[in-house]
Amino acid sequence: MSLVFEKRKNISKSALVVVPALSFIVSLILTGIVLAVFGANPFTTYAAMFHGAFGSLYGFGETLVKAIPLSLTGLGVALAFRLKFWNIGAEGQLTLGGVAAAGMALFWGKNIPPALLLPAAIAAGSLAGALLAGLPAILKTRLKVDETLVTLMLNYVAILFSEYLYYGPWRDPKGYGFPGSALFPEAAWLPRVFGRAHFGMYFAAALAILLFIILKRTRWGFELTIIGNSPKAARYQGIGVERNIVLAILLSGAISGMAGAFEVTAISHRLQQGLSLGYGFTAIIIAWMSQLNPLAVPFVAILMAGILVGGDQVQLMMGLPAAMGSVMQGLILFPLLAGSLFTEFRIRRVRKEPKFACVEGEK
Amino acid sequence: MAIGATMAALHAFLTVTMRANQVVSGLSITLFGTGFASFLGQRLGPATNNFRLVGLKAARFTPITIPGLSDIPVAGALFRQDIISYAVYLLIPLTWFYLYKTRPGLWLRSIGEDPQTADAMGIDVVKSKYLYTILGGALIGLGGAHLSLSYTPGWSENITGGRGWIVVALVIFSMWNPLRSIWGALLFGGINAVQFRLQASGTNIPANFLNMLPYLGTIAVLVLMTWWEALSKKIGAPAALGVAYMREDK
Repeated sequence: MSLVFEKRKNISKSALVVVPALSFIVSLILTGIVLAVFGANPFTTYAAMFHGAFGSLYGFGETLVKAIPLSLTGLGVALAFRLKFWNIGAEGQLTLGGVAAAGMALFWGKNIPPALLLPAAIAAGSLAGALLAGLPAILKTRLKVDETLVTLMLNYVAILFSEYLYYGPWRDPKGYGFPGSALFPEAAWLPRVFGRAHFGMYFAAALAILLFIILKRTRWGFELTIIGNSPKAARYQGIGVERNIVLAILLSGAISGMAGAFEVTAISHRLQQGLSLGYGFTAIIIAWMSQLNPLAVPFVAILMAGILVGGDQVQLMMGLPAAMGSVMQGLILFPLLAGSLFTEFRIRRVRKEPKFACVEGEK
Repeated sequence: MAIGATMAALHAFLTVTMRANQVVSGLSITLFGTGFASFLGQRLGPATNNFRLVGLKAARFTPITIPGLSDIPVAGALFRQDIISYAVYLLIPLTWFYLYKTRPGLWLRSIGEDPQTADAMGIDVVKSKYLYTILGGALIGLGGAHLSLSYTPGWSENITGGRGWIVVALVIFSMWNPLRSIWGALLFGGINAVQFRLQASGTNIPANFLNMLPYLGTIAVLVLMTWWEALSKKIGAPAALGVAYMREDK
């Protein structure tokens, strides 16, 4: 007996759902082993995590607070990944989006009618995210510069730049030396729904649906799908590949930038440390686990946010490192990647004798 | 090194056997590695330090001075290094020799350029890819050990500061040639040194902008190299880089 891999003609629909679910379970088991090795009971830990993240209104609110930026950056990353553009700069795009929104909220309050200050701040954040993503997109399409590295390097640049601002020129003079900008005027505060969960969650949900419709129902979405599958075929069709990639990546960066704008206008109301807690990197896991389907992104984002909040919770309760959450998220990706084999390939067992392999033809 | 090799074995399994996307697999290993390192960093330390590794002074490699050679002005600094650095001096020419002057080195390069042909020649593509990926991972693990045991004694969160990514640009800069990688490493090391020197000299440039130098330098190198390669039509990258080899596709 030996195994034969055949490329599937159509991607298996059921595997698209089963593989992420199984990956999550495998990750639970593997993390459980790590926990057991370090002397913690995996079952009570998971129960505490679940309870911390979903067991109370407060906990669920905190989970939603984290799910909003995760969902937005996840959407941005998924859009880029659909084009096989490896944008791993969501972290930087989010950070710069927060910086631009803060700049607008802090210094333009006098020039803009109060009712427009918040929209202007969010627009500025989106624009900044788009610009930061646009640079690697143009380098990629014009000069074929590898986008993975450029987007990643720009993360560090954006984070250092934001630190410079809130430690330096933007630092609140009345802040008792605390690194952070002054509080925004209230006109620039994004209203909250319950707890700290804010209006961004409606945006995130609407954007997921909108992106899904764009990708599945519009001409532009169809063109992007062709580009993602085969740029060569797209070129024969007369589709402007480079232009479309740049546009889509600008949109991808804008979505992440918007996430940053939400973080500062709804949560911290100032620019300060901890604007992003690695959301842009978790977004990669979310995009992949959603199989790049925008509609799945918010749900996966809530799950991942739950892992993060639950991880914090067990740190408080059981003294386990909060990094456990990121270990778990990392462990989800491996089975997921391995599992993509099953969505794209059909695996058959065949006898060594060639005649049997021939008899067993295509379906 | 063992850890580096294990992680690389996982990467090889995902990309060679499971044909997963190499970029995404590499990313997930990075995410897991940093998460797991920070987890271990808060667990593995001694009880006196609250089980944390941060702030501990690790047993470090002491520099070994080679008598005579170390007295040479300027170049003498080359001979006041720790054992890992000396290993690097040996590894660079050895790797070059292996890649360009031996038969298995030729095989290795042919797999990179055209795995189909290599397969037809009777080279076990899958086995070789595993072997060299694991070997490479071990070397990278050695680099990590150098960071925590020699460069800055002790471990801290995010100790690598994106170095693992910067080396990808370094490899591109060196056009995939181990001998040229000396210049690449000196260039990026130099950027680092300039940054520290400027900081120490008390310039008006804020430290944050100086800290951006390695990352901006990496982008600049990438852009320049890609541009130059397009102009000169001389590409160092193996043709089949990043492509999973599927024997069934023949």
